[in-house]
Amino acid sequence: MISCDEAAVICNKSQYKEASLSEKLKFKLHILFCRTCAVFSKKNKQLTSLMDKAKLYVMSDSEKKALKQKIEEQL
Amino acid sequence: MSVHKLQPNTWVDAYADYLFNYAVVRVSDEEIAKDLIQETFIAGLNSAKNFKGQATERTWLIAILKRKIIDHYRKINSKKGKAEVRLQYNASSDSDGDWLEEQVADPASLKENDALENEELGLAIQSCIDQLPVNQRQVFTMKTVRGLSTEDICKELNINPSNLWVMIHRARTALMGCLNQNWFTL
Repeated sequence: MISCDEAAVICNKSQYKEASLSEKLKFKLHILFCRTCAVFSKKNKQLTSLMDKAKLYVMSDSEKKALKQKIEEQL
Repeated sequence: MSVHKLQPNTWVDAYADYLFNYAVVRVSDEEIAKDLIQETFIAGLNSAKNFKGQATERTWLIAILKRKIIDHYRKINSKKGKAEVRLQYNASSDSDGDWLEEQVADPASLKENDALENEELGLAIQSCIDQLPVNQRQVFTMKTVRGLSTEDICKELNINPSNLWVMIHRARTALMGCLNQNWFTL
């Protein structure tokens, strides 16, 4: 049996499809008995689907650096 | 109400992503959006003395950005022929039967509403992300928004995978809480 901390790590990994098959099985077994982790898993999945839906954009670090410099020059 | 002060040297880290998302969905072009953000920051600096401290910095910057977006559309519209007369209802269709009826929105389609809702969702998420501690925010954005692999992130930030998952865990938990307050579906 795995601990809740371990379960949480596996749950987070699964959100990025990085959990191995044996990890997934251990996790499934864990949430059969652990209500807290089952709820966490459900919310975590929702967060993943919201993130997919939202399609966020980010500026790259170099672009941000350039922007900062522009601001510095103006100050 | 507390009085807000401008701190331009924190602008990029604190608001650039939020403003960027706001602009991208409105001008549908990342490069133009980047230019508009830069103009917004510069304009903000130049009119900093007009900032009365009643709004938050972000609200104030968004107000400037809105003007910049409107200006952008004015500019591209003035470049087009002003006296253009369109005989076709729909410029992009060459078919014979381009009747107005065919151009009416399909009432059964939820696409438009979805797009609107997703934009609001995006801004809600972005403002939650902006509240995270810097290192969590950095790791979470690299992993989730930019979709980098665990290995690459670890290499770039010089951390080990278990560090990474701890930060991801904290970030995700904080985001769940934040979205719980600011977004109803979680």
